[in-house]
This record gives sequence, structure tokens and C-alpha cells, in this order.
Amino acid sequence: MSDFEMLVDSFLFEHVKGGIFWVAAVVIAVIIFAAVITACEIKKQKSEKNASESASDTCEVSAADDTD
Amino acid sequence: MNGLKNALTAKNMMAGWLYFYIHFATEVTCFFFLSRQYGDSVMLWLFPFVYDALAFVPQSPIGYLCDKFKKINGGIVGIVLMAFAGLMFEYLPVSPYIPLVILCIGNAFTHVGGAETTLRVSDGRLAHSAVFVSGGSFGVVTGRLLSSSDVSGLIIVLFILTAIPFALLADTYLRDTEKQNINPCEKFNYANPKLSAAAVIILATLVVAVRGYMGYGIPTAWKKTLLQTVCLYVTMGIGKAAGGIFADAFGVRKTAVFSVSAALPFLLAGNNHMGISLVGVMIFSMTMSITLALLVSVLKKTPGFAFGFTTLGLFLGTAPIFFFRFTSVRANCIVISALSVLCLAALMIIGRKDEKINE
Repeated sequence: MSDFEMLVDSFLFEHVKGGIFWVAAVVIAVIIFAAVITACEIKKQKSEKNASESASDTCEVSAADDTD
Repeated sequence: MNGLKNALTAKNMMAGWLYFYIHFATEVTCFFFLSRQYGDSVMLWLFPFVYDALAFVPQSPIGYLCDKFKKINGGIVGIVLMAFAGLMFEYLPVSPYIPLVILCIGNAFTHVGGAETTLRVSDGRLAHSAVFVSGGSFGVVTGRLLSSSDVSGLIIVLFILTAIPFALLADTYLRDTEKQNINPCEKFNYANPKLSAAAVIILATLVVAVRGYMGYGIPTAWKKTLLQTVCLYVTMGIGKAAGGIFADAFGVRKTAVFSVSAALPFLLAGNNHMGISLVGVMIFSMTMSITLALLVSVLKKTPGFAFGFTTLGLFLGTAPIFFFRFTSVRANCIVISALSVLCLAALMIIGRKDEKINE
């Protein structure tokens, strides 16, 4: 392999290595983002569900009071 | 048959067809410019890898952004970005990575726009998003074919700009739905209610990743000519659309079980037989919209973000292919069989058992 070919090879290696590094960084950042947002969304959905359930319980109790 | 007819003539189905065209134009543009760069040996491996990462992965943050700021029209933003990237590829002597990044982000915006619109207007149905998704397969193969012709990049830029009226029209369906003042995705109830939302998301993303890996690993020794490649992509597109239509007609769970279990024998036996293999590919592609529906079922208020999980899974599934491939057909078949069983088990666990079919 000539010096020139070795130089081209090392350039390609660095080029590819740099590309993979940036891709990996983006992927990891997005996975962390998605995990955090998902946790927040699930928590929000649960609290909304609990709130609507307790509201419907209150309605049932007041309806029972009216019947009494 | 009535079920199939109802699925095809569902309310707002036109939004799905409008985004079918937009998705088609998007993939034509992306694969035209991407394939033109393949000529450079440095780009041969890295360019598609960077494209896959930057077009697929950012769709969850972009989806979340569009969920929170509903006035953003993802379709229009994406089309403009892709047209700009196309002009840069053609006329600006800059590093090809700059237009590539813009092209990827444009692609991501268009996908999110399509998912947001088709999921929100569908009234809990899958056919709309399935038809939108299927347009991509036709676009990929058309873009690749055009890149090897002497068509100018400017023509492709003008072609993607023709999708703008389609995106504006699709947006009117979305605005009409939003006037109703209810969560448009409330009717997506396809996930097992006994399972936690986090478990559904993890398992559905895993199924998408496995499917992504299998999509590249399917033994297709028969694929040697251009026409055979076209047949493969067209069949994939038909399968993706059929998945949503069948799920609306017969139920998500039944379609999921059918598509994973029935595809396997055809895929394994079709290594040297195009017809048999294509039947397998079509049935196998039907799971596409099912995983999306399962994710939206647990993330009803953020359908764009839920769509992002499918593309993230797709990238995680396809990334290993860039580094490692099975050379032995037998090893490949064993891996595909094992992954199919894994997919089937995961879909059986996360799918709702007592689902109601939308009338």
C-alpha cells in the first residue's frame, strides 16, 4: 500500500469514526429525551385519570344524597 | 367484505390519500439526492447511515414539538426544508453533509405532519395512517430509479413543491376535527389496559426494531433485476396499507397475529422464489400501522411523539445492519424465525383482548 493510499485510508477511517460518534450522540440524546417526556406524559395521564375518577365519585355521592 | 368497505370509505380517508402523495414525494426527493451521492466512495456507507439516523431519530422530539404547538404544519415545514436542501445539493458548493442534515430534518417534519394529521382525523381508525405510511415504499424505489437517470435535481425540487397544496388541503381536515373540542385520539384503545404504559411503549418499540432488522434480513436471493426490486417495494407499500385496512375491518389483534405468524413460512421458503417471497413480504409489512396504533393508545395526547417511537425503533433495528450481516442463509433463517416468535409474543402481550371494531 502506498503512502498516499494509507493517507486516504486513515482519512476515511477518521471520517467514518467522526460520523458514527455524532450519530451515536444524537441517538443517545433523543433516547434520554424520549424517556423523560414519556415519564412526564404517563404521570400526567395518571393524575388526570385519578382526578376524573374522584370527580365522578363525588357526582355519584351527591346523586345518592339527592335520592335519599 | 362490509368491514373492508367500511375501512376504505371511512370518514376523512382523503387526508390519508393526500399524505400518501406527500410521503411519496418526500421519499422520491430524499432517495434521489441520497442515491446521487452514492457515487462518491467515501459516502457509500456513511451517507445512508447518517441519513437513517437524522431522518428517523429526531422524529420523537419533532413530534412532541408539533403536539405542543399545533399550529406548526409539519408537512409544509418539511417540504420547504427538503426543497431548500435539494437546491443546496444542486447549486451550492458546500459539504454535502449540510444539505443532507437539512434534507433529513425536512423528511422528519413531513413524516410527523403526516402522522399527526392522519391519526387525529381518523376517529380511532388505522387505515388513514396506514395509507399515509405506504406511500413511502413507492417513493423510495421511484427516487432510486430517477437518480440513475439524467433527470435534473431542479425537477425533483419542483416536484416536492407540488406537495404543498396537498399539505394545505390535508390541514383543513385536521382543523375541522379540532373544532370538535375533544381529544381526537381518544378512540385509540388497542393496548392491553392491564399493562403499564411504559411496558407497552418498550415492547411496541422492540417489535418495531425487530421488524426493522428483519426487513433488511429477509432472504431475497431472487432480487437481481431492477423490476424485481420495484416489485419488492411495491409489495411492501401494499402490505403496509393493507395492515391498517385489515385492522379496521377485522381487529388489530387478529391482524397482528396473522401478519407475524403467516408471513414466516413464505419468507423462509421464498429465498429463491419471488412470488412466494412477495406474499411473505406483503403479510409481514402489515404490522407497521399496528405498532403505531398500540403506541398512540398509551400516548393519546401526543400522537406525533408516539409516532417518533416507531421511527426510533426502526433506526435501532436497522443500525446493526450497517456493521454486521449474516452471510449464511440458514443462520439468517434461524434468526428471523426466533425474532418472529419474539414479535408475536410481544404483540399478544400488549394487544387488547376485548377490542371493539370501529363501525
